[in-house]
Amino acid sequence: MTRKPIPLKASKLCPVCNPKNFKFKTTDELAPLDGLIGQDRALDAIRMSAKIDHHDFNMYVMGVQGSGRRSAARELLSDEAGEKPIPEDWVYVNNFQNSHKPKALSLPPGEATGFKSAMESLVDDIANDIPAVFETEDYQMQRGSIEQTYSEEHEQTFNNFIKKAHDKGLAILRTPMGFAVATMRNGEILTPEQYDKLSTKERQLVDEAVSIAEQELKDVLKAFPKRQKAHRREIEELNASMAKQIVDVSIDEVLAKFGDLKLVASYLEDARIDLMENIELFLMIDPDATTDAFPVATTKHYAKPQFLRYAVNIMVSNSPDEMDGAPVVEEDLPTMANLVGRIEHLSTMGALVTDFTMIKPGALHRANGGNLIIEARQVLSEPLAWETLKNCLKTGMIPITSAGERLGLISTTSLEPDPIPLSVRVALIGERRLYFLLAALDPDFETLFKVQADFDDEVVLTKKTTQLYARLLGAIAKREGLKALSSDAVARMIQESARLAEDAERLSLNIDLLSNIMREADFWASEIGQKHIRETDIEKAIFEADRRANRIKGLSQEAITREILLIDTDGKKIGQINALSVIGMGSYRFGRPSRITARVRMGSGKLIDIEREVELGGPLHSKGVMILASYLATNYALDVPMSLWASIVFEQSYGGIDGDSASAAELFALLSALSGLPISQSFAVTGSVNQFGEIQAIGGVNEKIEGFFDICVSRQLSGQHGVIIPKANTKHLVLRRRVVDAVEQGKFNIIPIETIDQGIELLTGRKAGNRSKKGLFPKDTINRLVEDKLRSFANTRRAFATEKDDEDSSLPRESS
Amino acid sequence: MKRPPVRRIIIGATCFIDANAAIPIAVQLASQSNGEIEGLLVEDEAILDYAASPSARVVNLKGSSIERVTQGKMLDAFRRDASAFKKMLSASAGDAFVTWTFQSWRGQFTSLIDRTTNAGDMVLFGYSRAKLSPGEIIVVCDDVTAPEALINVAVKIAAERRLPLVILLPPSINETVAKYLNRMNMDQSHISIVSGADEVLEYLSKRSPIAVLLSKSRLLDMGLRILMDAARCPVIVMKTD
Repeated sequence: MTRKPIPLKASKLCPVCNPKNFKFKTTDELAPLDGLIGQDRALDAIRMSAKIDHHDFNMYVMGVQGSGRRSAARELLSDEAGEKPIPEDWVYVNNFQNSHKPKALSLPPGEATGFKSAMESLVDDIANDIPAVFETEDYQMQRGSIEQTYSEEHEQTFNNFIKKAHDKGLAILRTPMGFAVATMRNGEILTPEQYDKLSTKERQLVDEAVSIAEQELKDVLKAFPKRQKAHRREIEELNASMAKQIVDVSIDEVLAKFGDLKLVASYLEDARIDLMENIELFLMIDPDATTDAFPVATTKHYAKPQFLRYAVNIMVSNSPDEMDGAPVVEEDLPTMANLVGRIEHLSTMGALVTDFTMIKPGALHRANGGNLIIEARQVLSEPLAWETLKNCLKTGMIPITSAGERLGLISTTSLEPDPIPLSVRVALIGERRLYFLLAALDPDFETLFKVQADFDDEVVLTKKTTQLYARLLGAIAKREGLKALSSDAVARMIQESARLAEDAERLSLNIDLLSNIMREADFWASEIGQKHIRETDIEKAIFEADRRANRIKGLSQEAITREILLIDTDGKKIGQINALSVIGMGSYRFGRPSRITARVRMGSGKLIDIEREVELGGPLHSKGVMILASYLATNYALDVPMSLWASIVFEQSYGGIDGDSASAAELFALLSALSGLPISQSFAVTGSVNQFGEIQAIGGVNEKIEGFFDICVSRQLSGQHGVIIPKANTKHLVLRRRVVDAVEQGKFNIIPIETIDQGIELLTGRKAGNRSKKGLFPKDTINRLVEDKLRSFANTRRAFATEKDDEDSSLPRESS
Repeated sequence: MKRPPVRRIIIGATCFIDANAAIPIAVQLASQSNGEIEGLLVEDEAILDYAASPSARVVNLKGSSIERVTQGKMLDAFRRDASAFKKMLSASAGDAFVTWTFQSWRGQFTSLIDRTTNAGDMVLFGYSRAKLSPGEIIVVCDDVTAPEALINVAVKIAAERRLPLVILLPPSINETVAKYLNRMNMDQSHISIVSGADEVLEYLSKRSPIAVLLSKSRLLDMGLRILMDAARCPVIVMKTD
């Protein structure tokens, strides 16, 4: 015999939190909760990942938005980072041998700024001292002496040549083609006619003298470039020796401070050589020097373009004055460039130019030696960012490239800076779905992110957690700058938290949602000048939030009350039942009754799900229909072929539906249609059925009940109205006050069932019936009526088939 | 206000290199004294006569011999240098807003001084030298021509180029020049007492002047070619009367 289901008492419809159980009047009296409730698993995971040394134990922090996962990760990582040493500073400097491969240098924490200043001072000192040294009397004397020597030598040589030529009666003619040596007679150049008149001997002597003079002239002219070169070299040597004294003093000053750092010392030696090779840079006249407001001595020479080659580009500076330990960096926009840095370019006369001073750091540089927190969805959305991050974690280096270079889109000559070694702990914050997708599809993911910190969505409602929850709410109020909550407000919040968790035995851990309610309640409390947030303020906040979102719900209910959408809430109908569905719009959900109808006739065992036929039914809905079809086929008339044709439809439903929460209602409608017994329209049914006729739990039970309740209220409650729900869902009931009150007053019923038989009995008022040992259901029971109908279909079908055979056999046959 | 008379400044050179050395000085003189520049590329008859001889050859600036020089080749070279001279003169004088003319002229280089007509007119005989050290401006005074006009011009050139000034003079006019320098607030350290043409030539051959200034009468006394060989720089000859 089927056990009769008992309607639930009002006390079972919503968890009660009695404010009197609290030992405080307001949350101001409570010590704020330091941390979260019920997240030990996740927090322990974060702590382990933060402490462990291995580079591939990065963490994925998952949970719903608002669970406090990000702030918890930040706090725990910060705590752990405080125990770690402050990481080194990193700078980029010029590579004097290969300027497109800047060198990376590390310095002790906080010393990068000092190194940069030291190099700036070095440039300023040399820029001030070099011009001055070339104006000293000592230098002028030495230079003058060299000039004098070479000048005198040159003058002497030429002078001697000219004199000799004159003594031999020769003149040096300056022609457009070069120098010509010509013979003179009586102060005039010998003409060709005069030459012809000379004797042979005289001509010989003249020719010889001219030849010798020409040779001497050639020697003098050839010697000049060599003399010029020697002169220039001596001047350069003099300049170099003067400059070297100054350069050495300046470099040694910097070496004294940073020389114990091997790479820095090596760089300074390279700089020393480069300074000597480019000392003329310090002699370039600054046309604006005399027009500056300040004296030339205070000019920032290091900022001039020609001296940028000696600049120091600080990538990361971790000053002990500003930091207590390792960094914790949160990158809110994890593009490729923001992660690994970028190399900027300047457009100069139509070309893109760059140098090592235009390298900019990224989040990985800032987080190096510490921790980096990024949103998983964001880093996966940005082109090449995810691949870049993985590459850096795998190689333990931060190479700087641009997306354009990676994709081969640009071929502008750029820089190849030394990659900086990377040691960082990455915390990816994201949804569970993303985690599982990454784990399934990205072979690198689980190698690099070995730690999952899974934040729970709910915590079990106990006396202890209730007390902790009160402190949590107090902490939220303090953090958001809200008024304190009274004990009744806390009780109401706890109730609402169970509603958010959709479970009377659980409390939601979505801090954001709780905070939203409290902040709005604080506003309403302020509007009426309250000192604390009370229960009524919480109610008001919930009500107003619902009101803002429920326009569509109102229209939907109006369509029913105006009988545009046909829903019966009284009387009885064969093959028709009120099912319940939930409509979700963003974060707002509401329940609504739908009419399901079923029609039957003889057929070949086909059960038509009209929603599926027109592709409005999703796979889960189709699955539910197939299950109930299986129930029919395996429960009734097993000795005859299934000869049923049936159709099921959600009447006046023109949008898609999915889920199997209406499969029980569909089966009830079918059983009604088969048995011919009408179903009470005062009820609505929700529940999923399995092949054994057991009723299974569904989602959204609270919204569904309230949806039907509101329709019944609009037509006046009769006391007969009610909702039939799966028994498994009774622990999920957190109904609104209006429903609970109606149940308490006996005007509404909520009846949990476990089997199809229990439900059909409630709906039809007839017994379902159990099969006897002889294999028959008792007469006039629902199951008997259903089975009889199916058998009659089968018999009718067999009779039809036999008649047809007879007809066919009576037709004349063709003779062969 | 009466405008000063236009002064003619004639640049004479037998090749572009020598003209190029004189052009900046000429432009400076012209812009300081309301002058007009007359550029002359002199197709020196002596050079053409030399080029006509069968054994004519030249040595270029690199010290290499160019054999088989002919008059025709020399004339072509003159024409090329004339074109370059004119172009440079146009650019330099144009930048300084100085009036200029140019022509090629065949004649005797040494007779260029006869082209000056008015007092103050000058001829700059171009001469290029490789300078290893900055030189000085040297004025060669004589006891025939009043030295003031020459000294004035020399002072302006020296001041503009920030070069030392040397005044060579015979002892007879030392006092006159000293008083003049005093009136100009210049000391007598610029003065060097030098007697006779040979001594002047000897002095010049040991120095590295950027330019030498003297009067026409002094030039005739010494001879242009000898003076230029000794000074090895542009020579500025001024008509003072």
